[in-house]
Amino acid sequence: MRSEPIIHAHEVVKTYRSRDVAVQALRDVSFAVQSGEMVAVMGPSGCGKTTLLNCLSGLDSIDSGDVSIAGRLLRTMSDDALSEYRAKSMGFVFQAYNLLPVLTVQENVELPLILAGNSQKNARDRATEKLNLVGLADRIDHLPAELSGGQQQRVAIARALANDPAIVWADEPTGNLDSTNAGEIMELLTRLNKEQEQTFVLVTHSDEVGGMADRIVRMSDGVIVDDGNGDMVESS
Amino acid sequence: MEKLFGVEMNVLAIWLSSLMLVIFLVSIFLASRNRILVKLALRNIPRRKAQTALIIVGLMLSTTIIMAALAIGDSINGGIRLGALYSLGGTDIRLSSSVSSRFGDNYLGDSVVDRVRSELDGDQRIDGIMPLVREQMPVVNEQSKKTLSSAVVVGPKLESIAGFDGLIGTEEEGRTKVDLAVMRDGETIINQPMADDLDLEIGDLLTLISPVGRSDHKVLDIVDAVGILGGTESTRASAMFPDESLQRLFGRDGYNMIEVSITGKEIVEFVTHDEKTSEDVTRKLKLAFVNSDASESLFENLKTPSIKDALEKKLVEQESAARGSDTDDPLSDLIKGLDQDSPSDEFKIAAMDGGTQATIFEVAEASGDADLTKSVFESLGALVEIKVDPIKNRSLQFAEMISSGIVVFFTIFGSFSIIVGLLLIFLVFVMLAASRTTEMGIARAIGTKRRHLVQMFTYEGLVYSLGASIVGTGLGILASMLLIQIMIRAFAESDDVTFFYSVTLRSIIVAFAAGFVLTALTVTISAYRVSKLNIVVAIRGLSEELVSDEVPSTLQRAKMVLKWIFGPFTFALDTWVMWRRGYGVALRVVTFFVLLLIVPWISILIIKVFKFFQPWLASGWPLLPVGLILAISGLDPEKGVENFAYDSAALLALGVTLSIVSTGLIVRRILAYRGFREEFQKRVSMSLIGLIMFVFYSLPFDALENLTGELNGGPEMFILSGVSLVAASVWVVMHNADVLVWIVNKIIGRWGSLRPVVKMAIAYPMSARLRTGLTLAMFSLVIFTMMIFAILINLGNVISDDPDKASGGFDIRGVIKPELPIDDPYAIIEQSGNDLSVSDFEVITSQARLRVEVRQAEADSSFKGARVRASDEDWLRKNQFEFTHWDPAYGQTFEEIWQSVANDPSLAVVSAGIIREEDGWGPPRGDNVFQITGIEPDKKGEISGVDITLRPPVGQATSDRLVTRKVVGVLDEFADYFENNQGSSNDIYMHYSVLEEISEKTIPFTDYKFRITDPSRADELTRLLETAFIDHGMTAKSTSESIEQEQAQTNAFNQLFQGFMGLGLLVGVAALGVIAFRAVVERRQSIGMMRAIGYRARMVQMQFLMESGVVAILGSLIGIGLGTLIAWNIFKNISQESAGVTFSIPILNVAAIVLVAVVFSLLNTMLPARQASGIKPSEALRYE
Repeated sequence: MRSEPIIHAHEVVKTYRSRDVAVQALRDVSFAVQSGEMVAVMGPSGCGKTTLLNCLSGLDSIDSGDVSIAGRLLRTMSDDALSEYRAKSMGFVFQAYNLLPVLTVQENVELPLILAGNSQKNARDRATEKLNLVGLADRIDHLPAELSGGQQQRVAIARALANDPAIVWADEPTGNLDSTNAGEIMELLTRLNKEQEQTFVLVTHSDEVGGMADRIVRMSDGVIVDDGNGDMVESS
Repeated sequence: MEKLFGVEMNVLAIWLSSLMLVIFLVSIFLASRNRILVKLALRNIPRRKAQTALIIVGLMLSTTIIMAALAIGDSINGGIRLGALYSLGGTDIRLSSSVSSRFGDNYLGDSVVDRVRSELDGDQRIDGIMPLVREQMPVVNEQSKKTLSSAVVVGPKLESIAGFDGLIGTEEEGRTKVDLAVMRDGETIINQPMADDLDLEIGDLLTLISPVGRSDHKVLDIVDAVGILGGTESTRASAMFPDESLQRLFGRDGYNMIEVSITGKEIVEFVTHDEKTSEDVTRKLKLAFVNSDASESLFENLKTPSIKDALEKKLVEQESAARGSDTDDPLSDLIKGLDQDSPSDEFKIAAMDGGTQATIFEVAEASGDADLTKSVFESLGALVEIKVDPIKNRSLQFAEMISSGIVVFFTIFGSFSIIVGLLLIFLVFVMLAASRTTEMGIARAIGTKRRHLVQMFTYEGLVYSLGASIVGTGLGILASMLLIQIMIRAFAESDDVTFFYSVTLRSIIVAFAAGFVLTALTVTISAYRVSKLNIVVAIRGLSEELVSDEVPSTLQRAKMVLKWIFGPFTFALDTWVMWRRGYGVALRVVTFFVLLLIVPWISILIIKVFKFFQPWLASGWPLLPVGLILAISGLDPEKGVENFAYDSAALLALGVTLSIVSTGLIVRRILAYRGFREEFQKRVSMSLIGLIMFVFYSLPFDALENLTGELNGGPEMFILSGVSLVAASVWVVMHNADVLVWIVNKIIGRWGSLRPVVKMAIAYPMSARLRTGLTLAMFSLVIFTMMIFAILINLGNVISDDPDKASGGFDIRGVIKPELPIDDPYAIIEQSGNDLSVSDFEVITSQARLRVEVRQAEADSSFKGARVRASDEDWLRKNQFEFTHWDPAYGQTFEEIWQSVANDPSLAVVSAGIIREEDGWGPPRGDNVFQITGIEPDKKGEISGVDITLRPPVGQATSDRLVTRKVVGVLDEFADYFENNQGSSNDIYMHYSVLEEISEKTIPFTDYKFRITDPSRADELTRLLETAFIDHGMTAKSTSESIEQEQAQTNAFNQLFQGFMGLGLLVGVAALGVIAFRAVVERRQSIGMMRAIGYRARMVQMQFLMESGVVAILGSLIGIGLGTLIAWNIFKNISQESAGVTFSIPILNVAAIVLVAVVFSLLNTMLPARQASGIKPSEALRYE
């Protein structure tokens, strides 16, 4: 069953410049993700996985090419429009969890809900619901520093899911975790993917993690060498 | 400036720069032993240039404030000093008659001049001796019809003018071309101010009005207003005549002054000064003009054993009163002199001292021997033949007193800003440390010692301190230049004072060194605090609050104390043991010798003893007895324990504060014992401490007087209570911040789109409580001080709201020359012409002034100086001055009291200064000032009359004319406003009949007051009166003009001061900027995450602005609240002494202050906030 892709990248180029050195992180990358799919982007360190994720999600700008999400061209959206889009339709999970250290677990999860314009009560209820979903209902009043790494990552996932976003981006979600915790987190993610029918894009270098995805996209040196659809992509 | 807070500036400069040097040497020594630490420390400095610049800005502000205060003092000192030097010229010592013109002939004959010459004959220290006539007289230019009611006219003996004439001339053309030796009768040389005022040119005729009438004098030259022709501070216009001309015109023989010039260092052109020589020559002259018969007779009388015993008792009393602070006490010299066979020089000098004379007379009277009393009185009266006044020394000392007074005033208010500046330094280092916790944790983990961390931070801090002191000193000079410019512009119209900018190298050294030392100390303390980090906590970057290490056991602590009792010796033993084991001991050997200097040894011992008790102190209870003992020791002797009552508000306050803190800590212990949560224990106990302290320090100053007695407290109390009050409030706020957050959330929660911003803007400041608390405290302190000042300025405006309070209902005040008395003012007005008519005036009153000595009858006291204002009946009946205290037996209303005083010449009223105690703010009053005891200034209302006895000052009259009066009222202090140029006086107002009773000579009325029928013509009539009474030398001023002038000068001073306080505000604003900049760096990742979950760039910016805004607004609110509270207390205190002061908050002024504070804080945060909002989320998230 193939419908219109929710994420579509066309000949995306991204170059980082520091002083006189220019590094081409993405070279004419084209790539699509279907709605509800769980895609893992894999490849060696420095191959451009994270850059791809940042560019596709609108966290970073691109030099040329086009990225569209659910039919909207990111290039045409203002910074504010992008922010709002992220608040309502995207969720993020990072390797370093990146919870806000001054807020409690509950408040961290509430934040995107409040941003999306929910009432305080509504935000509270939904945050509790999401924390239940990740199994942390008993820790809602703790500060992030008081939780273990695995627990913090669950909070980050609950936060990413808070607004029931269409797409969840996860950059090395298990990178900081031991194998037991990593397994649990991945199980959680795949379960949610199936239950909530959300699109997941994971960046990882772990074969185990990659193996749990619907499809693996392999990258090397800024280009996609295998898009996981059985087509070997030639580098240009 | 020579002294600051009573410490010689030279000493201060030497101490501070030595301290600075020691800090440098110690650092260099330590650095050379461990260079890697220096490298680590110094590399941080260029790494982040913007941060380094910001830190230096933060650190420099204390130095800037100190420098600005000192430079303002220097400029004021320089202005007054130079004014004095120029107007004195060559004159160092001035000899004059011991008899004042009110009581007898104050002119000295040729024989006295010859005696002075022969005394000083051959003395190499003397430049010149010049007898002269010097008076103030009216002058006129008949041609232009311009008049000057008062000009200084001088008639030096022309052949003696050498040594004094250097300054006669102009700056451009040098010394005058006129041959002074051949100046004749009918010729004059005038100075530029006189030429300007009268439109005179060389060759014109100047008309001088004197007791014999008008006389014309041809102007030979016009010269600068310096030296002999320098005039006085208030009367610049001056003219010089041959001595014979003036003697003839005044109908006097001889001279009223003999001036002596002394060789010395040239300070300004032709003006030399040498304080010591001046003192020595003064002493020599004093001894030369002591009447030897009188001193013999006095000596014999005092040698009587009973008198000598009584004198010794007095000495003991005085010494215990002064707590032995004064070493050169004339009374003790006098008593020592009595052991010899004949009056020694020391004895004579001591006997000439005014205070000692009062004591001698008191003792003689107490002996009950009438003959002895009479003999003592007569010999005291005859003792001084000629008054010898070291006038240049005295003028320069006066300049010193005024300027150091101003510097103290500035430093006291500035000390709030300095404290704020030091807090900022602390804050900067706390944040610097926070940014490096991980780095430092790792350093500790790999074996760096705690003291290495302290050293590392200190090295880095020292470099910042050095940079900051340099920049701060420079900026302080710039700031003071700007402020002095404002002053110069404000005083441009007035002739009295000329300001110009000046700053001494010594002040620069003091400011630089003080700034450096203060900064370095704060840096070291911060570094110590930083070093106490917990390694694990630091590496994991868990929390900004550092964890202190565990406490050593009691035994360990006791061992340390024991060890340090023997200080260097146990240290030497340890060192020897270490050496034997093969450790390097070079540093320890050096330390050993340092310890032998005792001071470091004792300091360490004290610290160890403190550390021994520290763990118990933290539990609270041991503080309680310490606090209570301190509090009790501060009580008034009447209320406290005998011999343990030091009558000090500061001691009491400190003691109470300690007790409060202790109580809070005990409560915390109890709560812990009862098993309450830690959060709850903290909140309850800390809030309790804060609240009780708040209540204690916000009580009116006299609220506890029934318990404590009336306590002594000066400026230090102001600082102590201000800082404590702000600290207590911030303390309570920070420990109950969540309540505040809840309220803000409730309010702002209504605007949905702001909610996420508000949430973060509150969460961050509340999670870093130390930072937020410090910043809040800084901001509050600044606004607090500015607020108090704004309100206090407003209190002064009462005079312009109700001028009659100060003027007594008179519209114009005129003063005439005593040599040119008025017989009938109405007749003169009648004859003056068409413009002025008797019908213009409702009342014309007259008064005379007379210095006397007074004693309170029932109090066992000696005669002391006071001034009689002998008033005609019109003045007594028609003035509208009000009383704070009155004797109901003489009337129920103020008017009735005045009628009684007019009807009954035996009654008198006194000015407010006579019952007021010294408050430690103004210059010391001296001990020869009459005071009435038993009337309490703040208990207004009815009193019963106080009997006083008046007599001519010692030496003024041959017979002891005693006059008794009953004081039936005390005037409110506004009466002094015009009568005494706002100063506090000790005047006694009474019927003019006193003049005949007290002096053989006829004393003329000199003060005239006018109430006019049409007040709108006040200024016009003032000018007309001056013209009409020119032949009497009347200078007149209208009430409205005086108020305007006064207001203008006060405003100028206030501007200067507010500008100075603005520097403090700068510190507060800078603090918010520093925090915001740090926050951007620290929170990069969080910002990235926030942007990732959908925060817009603008929202991030808004969040940063809101964080600063919350602190600025909260700080402003606390500052306004506390400032108003304290200003209200001060107002209450003032209004007890002077009725009718009104309290109002200058809303515009306050709004302006707050607006400036908040707007500048926001502007300052704008840049970091923009930076934060500009961060790309992808970059921020990658950044580790």
